[in-house]
Amino acid sequence: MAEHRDSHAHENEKKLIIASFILTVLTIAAFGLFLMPGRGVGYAPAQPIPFSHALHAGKRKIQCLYCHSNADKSPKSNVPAVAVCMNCHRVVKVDSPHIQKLTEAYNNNMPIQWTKVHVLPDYVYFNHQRHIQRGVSCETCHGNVADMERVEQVSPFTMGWCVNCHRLPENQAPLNCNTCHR
Amino acid sequence: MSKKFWMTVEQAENPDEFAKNIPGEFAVSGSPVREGFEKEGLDRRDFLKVTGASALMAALAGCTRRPVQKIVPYVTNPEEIIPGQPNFYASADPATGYGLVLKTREGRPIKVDGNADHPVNKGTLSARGQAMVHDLYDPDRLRGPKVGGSDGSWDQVDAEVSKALASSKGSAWLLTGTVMSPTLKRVASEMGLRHVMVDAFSMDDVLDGQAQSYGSRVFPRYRFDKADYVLSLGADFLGTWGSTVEYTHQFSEKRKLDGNKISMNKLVMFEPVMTLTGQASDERFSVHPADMLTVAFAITHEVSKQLGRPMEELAPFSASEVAQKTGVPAEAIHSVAKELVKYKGKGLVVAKDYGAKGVALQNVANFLNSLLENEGETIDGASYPSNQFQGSHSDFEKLLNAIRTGGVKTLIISGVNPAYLFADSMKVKEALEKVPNLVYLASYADETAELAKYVGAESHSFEAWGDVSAQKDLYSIQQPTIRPLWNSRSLLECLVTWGASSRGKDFSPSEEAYKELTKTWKELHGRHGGGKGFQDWWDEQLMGGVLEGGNREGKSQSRSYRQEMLRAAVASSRSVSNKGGEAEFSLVLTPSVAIGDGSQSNNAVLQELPDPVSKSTWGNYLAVSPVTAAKLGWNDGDFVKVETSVSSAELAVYKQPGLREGVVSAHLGYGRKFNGRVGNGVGVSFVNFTGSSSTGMGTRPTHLVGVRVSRTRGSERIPNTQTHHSLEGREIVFDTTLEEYRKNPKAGIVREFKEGEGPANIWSGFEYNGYKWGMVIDLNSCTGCSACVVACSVENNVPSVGKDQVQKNREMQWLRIDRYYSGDPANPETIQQPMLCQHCDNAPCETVCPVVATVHNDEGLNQMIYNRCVGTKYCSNNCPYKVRRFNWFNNNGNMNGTLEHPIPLMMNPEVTLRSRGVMEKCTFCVQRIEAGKSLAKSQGRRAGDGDIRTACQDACSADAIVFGDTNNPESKVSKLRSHPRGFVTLEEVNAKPQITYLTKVRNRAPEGGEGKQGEHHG
Repeated sequence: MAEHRDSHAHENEKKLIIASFILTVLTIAAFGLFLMPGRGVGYAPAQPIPFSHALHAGKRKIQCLYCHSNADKSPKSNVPAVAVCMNCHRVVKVDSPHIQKLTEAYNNNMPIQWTKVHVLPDYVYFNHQRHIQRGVSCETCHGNVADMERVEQVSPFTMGWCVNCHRLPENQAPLNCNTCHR
Repeated sequence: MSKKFWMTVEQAENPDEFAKNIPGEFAVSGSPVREGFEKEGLDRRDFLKVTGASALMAALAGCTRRPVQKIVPYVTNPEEIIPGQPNFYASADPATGYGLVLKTREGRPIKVDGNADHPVNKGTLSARGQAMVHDLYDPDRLRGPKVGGSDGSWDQVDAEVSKALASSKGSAWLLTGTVMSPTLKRVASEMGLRHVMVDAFSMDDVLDGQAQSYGSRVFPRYRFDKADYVLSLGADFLGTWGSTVEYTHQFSEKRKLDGNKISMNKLVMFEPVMTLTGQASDERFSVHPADMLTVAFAITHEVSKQLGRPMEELAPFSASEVAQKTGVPAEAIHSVAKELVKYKGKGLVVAKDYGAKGVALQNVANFLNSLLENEGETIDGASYPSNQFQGSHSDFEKLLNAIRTGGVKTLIISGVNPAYLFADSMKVKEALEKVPNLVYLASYADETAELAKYVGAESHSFEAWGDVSAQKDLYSIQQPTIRPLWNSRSLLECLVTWGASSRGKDFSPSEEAYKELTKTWKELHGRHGGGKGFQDWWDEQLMGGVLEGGNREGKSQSRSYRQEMLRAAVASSRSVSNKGGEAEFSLVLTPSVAIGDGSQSNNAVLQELPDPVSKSTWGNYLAVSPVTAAKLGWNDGDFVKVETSVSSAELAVYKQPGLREGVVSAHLGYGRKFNGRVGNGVGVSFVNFTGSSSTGMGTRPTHLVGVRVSRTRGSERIPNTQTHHSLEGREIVFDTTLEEYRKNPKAGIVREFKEGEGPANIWSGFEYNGYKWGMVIDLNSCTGCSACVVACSVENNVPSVGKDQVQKNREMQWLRIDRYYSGDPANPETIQQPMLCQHCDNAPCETVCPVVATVHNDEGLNQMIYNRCVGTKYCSNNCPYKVRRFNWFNNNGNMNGTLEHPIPLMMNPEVTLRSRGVMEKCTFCVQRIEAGKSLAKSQGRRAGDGDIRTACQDACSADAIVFGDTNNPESKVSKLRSHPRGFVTLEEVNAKPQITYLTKVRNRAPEGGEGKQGEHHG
């Protein structure tokens, strides 16, 4: 009985080794494609309302922090609440169908679901507040948004890309793993 | 030759054998993959399934993007919320009276701590308090009202209950636990409800004893902060008896030996079972539960003799006679009496009798306190007494009798689960079934809900408005921090709805409750407002969380003792103290630190919290004395049957050092049948064993005699964590006595080598130019209450893994409390040692990681990078402290989204959820370090003491944990580190740990010296 179980277990182990080998190769290949450096550059998804940064930040010269008001107050920057849009759009361009959509959302107390452009993994804790207080401009990472009709990812947002900047002696930035990973 | 410490009875008996037999770190656990295959085998189809799935995955991944994520901003941003930044709100816990501070993120409470300004709990909570956040997000909570067992609506409940109440004037009753809310009490009485309070773990003995001794039924404010000498006759005041967090604070404060301080308080404990307080005591004597009153008389007799006022009625209780009868040495009685007299006015006697003589024992303790002029000094029963315990069992009896005679038409129950707690011995179920309109408000569809016609889902105290008055002239507002997750209501909201004369279309229960609350507080504003406008004053109360009148620090009013009560107590003791037959046992039932009355038993963090005394998890076990176990040939985990004339139970035994021979004990609060998926069927219920209250002068005795215990078949591996992360018997804790400490502050510390020598160093060292984090843990303050363990798990999203996994050594807690015994197993001494990642400067784990997933940082932290870890477990293998934990499973379900709603809301968003195959360990709460540093940087300064506090430090009632920057010579941690009592564990390994421990100092005569009363045998 014991012998039988041994040989059975042996068989299983052999199968297991082969299975895990194939699994490993395929998984590495899959993840390699999935996480290839620079994969997200050029990502410019359509948004529920075709908000133009080129118009607001470029032509009208509205400061980034007017809408993204928490970027210097919190690790997380924010996409403005609908109420912030309504500050101006109560009176500005009320005839536009997009603004009407916005007004409708506001009046119905329905939030707008924007599509996230700059995605970091859950185990990365980037801190907007620290970078802005250090004088890093928004454009350094997000590119010249003031020229973008639709926001596009211009930097790879990979660890190597982050660390390249942190490594520069003049930046005096921390290089501890815990700075970003907890 | 250093002192021998041991963790289990086996180790005490034969340390070499124990070391040989203890399984390796992963020996029991093996591999879950192999476990599965051994059971079923991997057949060809499974093989194809595995490989096929991976091929499919590869194909999909090749042509898809990462999933599209959405950003959903507010429509109107709430003024106080900045996404990514926490908010803090003051509140209060209606169950314990403690002041709370709730940390919320984007409107979700994610952590609760004590309110530092609250005079009762001074900033900390118990283990159960720390776990409240998990209760809030429990998916098994009731989600809406039920009528007659099926889902109903509040409209229906409101209409029918209001009608029932209107037609039962004078016969409508309200049954609750202790209510400390002045608003709730007022509303109930305005509605004409007859309000009965009953506590799960009754303090009736104290309350009735106070009433008899001093004339008013109050729970006094015990002031351990004024007591240099504490005598406890069975009261586990650090663990389960009374206002434990308050007492732990005060007691530990008096034990601090910081700086040049060379005096501390002394605790002497007489008890039948081993408790947290017994483990923290300087001298401990084990007493048979039936002898407690006799010993108390003997001590009182000696005290009165020494004071020159011998009490005639106590003459039969001479020390020598009592010693002969009870086995407590006569010298012990003499010396305790001598010290009580020496510390006259600065001593404190507290007592708890598990049997039916509770009130008599209280009368004796009260007499002692009055005789020694401690009354008014260390006991406040008149100036600012406590409101935390008001329950009355005799009132409850009256209610049951009223039900039996048909005098109860409508009964509203909330905050207490009588069908479970008081069970069949009091015929509670039968009575409740007779109530025509039984209305029950609860969080779970539990035992009482089974009997109720209307069951309302009760809001968590974090979800509703209320107020709490824990002591006289002390008020806090209970402030909601989240809208109710489900269709639930608080008791106050229900009462204002059912009592309303008319309910219009716009009637809102929560607004009405808020109106009643402000009505109470407007009245308080009149007395305490100090000329401020109400709104400003109210906002201040909300923000601060404490409204305090009078001066609670000074001397209290003293009361005069009614002498006749001592005589009555003596008379009551004449009924022979029954210890049962030769072959029978005495059974003592106690609450446990983690589970308490069982109301939180669906909380996995608490179920998995090792009991501070036994270190067992997930259930209750029968504690037997090592001597009894050896005599009967029982081993840990053997199943036995416990029988009395009324009930029986089957469970596993374990050997509990310090337990009196002939006594067995078990925890109450287990064996829930109708609770939730976590709590159901964990452990065995002993409620049917607890005696009928009619014999106990209003108390519920939990000491039973004539109990038969017999071996049944089989055994199990008790999920006991103490031996899981064994350090192979290496010297890791040190203790000494106060006398030796005064002679030599370094007393007790055994060093293997001299300063500067030691083993060769293979590391070149790091430079720490900025911050350098370190910790000091004072073993003399630590009581082992385990609040830190729960706080750590809540803060760091540490998963619970369940009984079968704990049995395989796979518990995940980052912080454990090791319990070391020394001396005689019949009555050992104990040291509690919190053990967590030591953040070694020369970290052994770092050198062996093949993928550099655990590395040092320039602030001295040993970083664990989850996304780099491949799970070799080499680090854990090489860790001399055994503080690393491996994720054998997706315990947090994060990879496949298996976490059930609303559990994800409970997670701390600042800490990564770890997935399967990843090692984890204490990070020194690096998320708090980063937040603290960031705040200081924004303000242009260096982070100092108080900017960064770890979760365990925040939770510690004893203030035993100090964390800070050791590069700053002015920080508290730097100063404490250089204290002569300081030592680092396993110094000879030369890992240079960054946690310094301070030796445990016992305030008793040194070993071998005169008065060896601490070494009582048997």
